[in-house]
Amino acid sequence: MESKQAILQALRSKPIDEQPAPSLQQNWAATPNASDTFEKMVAAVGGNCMRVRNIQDGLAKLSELPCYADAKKICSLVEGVEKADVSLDDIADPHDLEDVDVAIVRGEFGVAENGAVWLTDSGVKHRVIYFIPQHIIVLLGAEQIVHNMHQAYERLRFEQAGFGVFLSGPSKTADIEQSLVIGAHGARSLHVLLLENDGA
Amino acid sequence: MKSKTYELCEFLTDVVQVEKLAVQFPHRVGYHQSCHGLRELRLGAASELMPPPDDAAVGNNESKTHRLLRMVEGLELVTLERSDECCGFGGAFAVGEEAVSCMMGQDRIADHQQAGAEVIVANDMSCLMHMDGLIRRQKQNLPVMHIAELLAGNKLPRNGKTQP
Amino acid sequence: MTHGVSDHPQKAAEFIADSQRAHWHDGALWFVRDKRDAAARSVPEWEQLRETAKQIKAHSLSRLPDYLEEFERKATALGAQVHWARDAQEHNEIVYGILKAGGVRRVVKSKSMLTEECHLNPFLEQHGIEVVDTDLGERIVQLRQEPPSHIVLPAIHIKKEEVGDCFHEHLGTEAGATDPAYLTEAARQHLRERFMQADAGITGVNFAIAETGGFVVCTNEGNADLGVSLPKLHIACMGLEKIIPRAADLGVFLRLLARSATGQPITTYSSHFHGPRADGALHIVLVDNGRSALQQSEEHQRALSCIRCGACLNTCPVYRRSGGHSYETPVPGPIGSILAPSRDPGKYASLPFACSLCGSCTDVCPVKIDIHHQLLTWRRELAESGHLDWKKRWSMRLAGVVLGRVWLYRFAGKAMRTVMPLLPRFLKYNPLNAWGKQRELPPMPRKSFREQYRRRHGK
Ligand code: SF4
Repeated sequence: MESKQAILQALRSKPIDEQPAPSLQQNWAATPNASDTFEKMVAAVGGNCMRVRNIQDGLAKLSELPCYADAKKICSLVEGVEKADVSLDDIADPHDLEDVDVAIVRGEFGVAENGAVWLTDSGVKHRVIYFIPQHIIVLLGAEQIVHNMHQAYERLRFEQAGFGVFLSGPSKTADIEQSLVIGAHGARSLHVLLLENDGA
Repeated sequence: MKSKTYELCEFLTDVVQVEKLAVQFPHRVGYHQSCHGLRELRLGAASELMPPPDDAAVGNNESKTHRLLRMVEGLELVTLERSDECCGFGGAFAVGEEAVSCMMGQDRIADHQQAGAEVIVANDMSCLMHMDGLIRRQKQNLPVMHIAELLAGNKLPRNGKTQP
Repeated sequence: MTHGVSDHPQKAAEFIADSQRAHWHDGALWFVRDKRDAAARSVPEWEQLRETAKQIKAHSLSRLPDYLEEFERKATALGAQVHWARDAQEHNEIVYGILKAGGVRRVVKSKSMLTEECHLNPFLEQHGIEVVDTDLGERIVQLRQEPPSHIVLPAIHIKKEEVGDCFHEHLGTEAGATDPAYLTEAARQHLRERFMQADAGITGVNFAIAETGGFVVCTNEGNADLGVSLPKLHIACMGLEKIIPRAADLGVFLRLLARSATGQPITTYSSHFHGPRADGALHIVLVDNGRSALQQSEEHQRALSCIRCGACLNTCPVYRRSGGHSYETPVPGPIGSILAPSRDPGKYASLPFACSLCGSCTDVCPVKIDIHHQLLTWRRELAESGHLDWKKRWSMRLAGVVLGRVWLYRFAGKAMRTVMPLLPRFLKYNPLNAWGKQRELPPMPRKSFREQYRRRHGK
């Protein structure tokens, strides 16, 4: 408490003229076509984006992905995934998710300019499921793509406790001589299935 | 004061508004953009800044001097790998940080050499003095010229001597 | 790190003595600068974003105490515990206190320049707590027992052969291995174990949002997220200046940050934390450590706008050629040379002079800090407060008098033209004359231009 008062006092010891906050409603450029740009940007950040007609086609598409086909342990937050054998709600300790090979999750929306997908822990018992699996597959409605980060934040409200992440591509590092290596600590690959008709 | 002083090239392009120059200089020229001219006087577009794409006037890292040099007959501007990196003069820096200053100068010179320049031209005497000092110590053959000398019609200096 | 007075010219000269390596270092960073240029060019409103970011930061700093209080209120309402630390010592004690109360023995930490600044690792280690830096670059320098040399690329000064040797020694990789993919995989396996064993995770903070009480952490590797979503305890350490007013301001900053830092459109993970996990605890430590003094300084307040993107380091012709360690401060390069003397002017007096005033940093900075002008201001302030040693004063004077453009030609020139040609070479080129070590002095025309002009025009 003492330190708090001391710091605030130090910050207020001299009056400082208030500088106006700029408006964020500016003429920010839109991308030519949000979902096309998004698709391109996911690839540019090391991921892979595929268009499918609907959720059924998306689920069918899964078996074409080597990471899914080879997976021993799959945790899905999406209904109807045949091979899913880990249920998040049955897991008490997040450490037990260590050997999950593939997680299949739902994205809320995507951002065209940087290929990021917004994921949250709302209704998700262990948020580590976004970070611990070897591979991650995101299902996302093609309608849910915004052009840029300004539009992204227009969609977001942070009124309650919770966690959210913009995930742009798989985990990566270039800490050894600037050589890009995919798969640092998080997912080694990221697939986005873009649903043209999202029934959800 | 400020509004009445111009840098030479600025004066020629903005006030006199020259469109043509009766000067010949049939050589490959490496143009060194001095930082003071570039980032204080804003005689050109620094490579760090991103002008809106439709602002062609300052696009492409072009400066007022570039425009003048393009009017000189026979002159070929070489393309540097680093269009506007500092040469390392920097006043007190040249002696206070001697090692870095000289390495910066060497690197600039090497860039002009790899680009095939026959002469380094700049608007700033200090940059030239610094680079010329390095070049002459190493007994290399790469003359330097002030832009005013070139625009005044001087020839390419040979053996370190200016030729009016 | 030495505890004496930093001597940048000396350290830089040592770095440059290995010319090949210095050029390799310069090239590696120029490559990053190039990627930044391409990324910035792809955003049509780049300059507009920079201007907006600058204004947001100026606004936040002008109302900093109010926003800090608002942040604390909101964060507390979300279930986080907020702590205030006046200096590095208090910060370290708070963090240790939380860990001790939680019975923590092993900690994983993601990149945080603030904890570097506070020397948190040695403090915790002294108290028997194992701290593992989980960012790959930071882990490399930690194993090599040296400080990071860059705020975004901590191991940019290290060659892959050296990483191979280091991992061979500590992680048991094959001798002589140099393949970055192989080495990264080895680090992944090694650090997975540490993540699994950790009792707590420490992160830095990139942005803290006053209106929501949340904060954002940006990484590419996912190490921050892995580190705080396994153990139940998360401690986030942040400098006071990280506050921004609105969540929507992030739209501006996240567009600028990664593009400026590495040329990516956004970092792989931009994680937004609002309150603790359902079964966990979240502590946020707000640290002053000299920041309030900067905020109160009209000259240097703007330096607090820094979002630590590292672009000014990458573009700095001096940093690229002298290496991060030559600055002997946690934040090196142009911005570090403004921040360090504010903490200890005596120790860091040489840093504002490690600059040719080219101004590239100012133009590259995503929040438009007038970096090189601030360095110039520091030079004046250091001279006025008597923090310059005789060598610096002497070399400033020499440069000021002899090299100061007009003087050379008008006044000194005339005397020199008469005297210089008569002087033996060893008098002109000696160890006291730093100009002449690698450079010739300008040739002296027999008559100055002014004299020639007068003669020709009969004046
Ligand atoms: S001063 Fe500017 S360019 Fe340098 S690290 Fe900070 S934000 Fe980036």
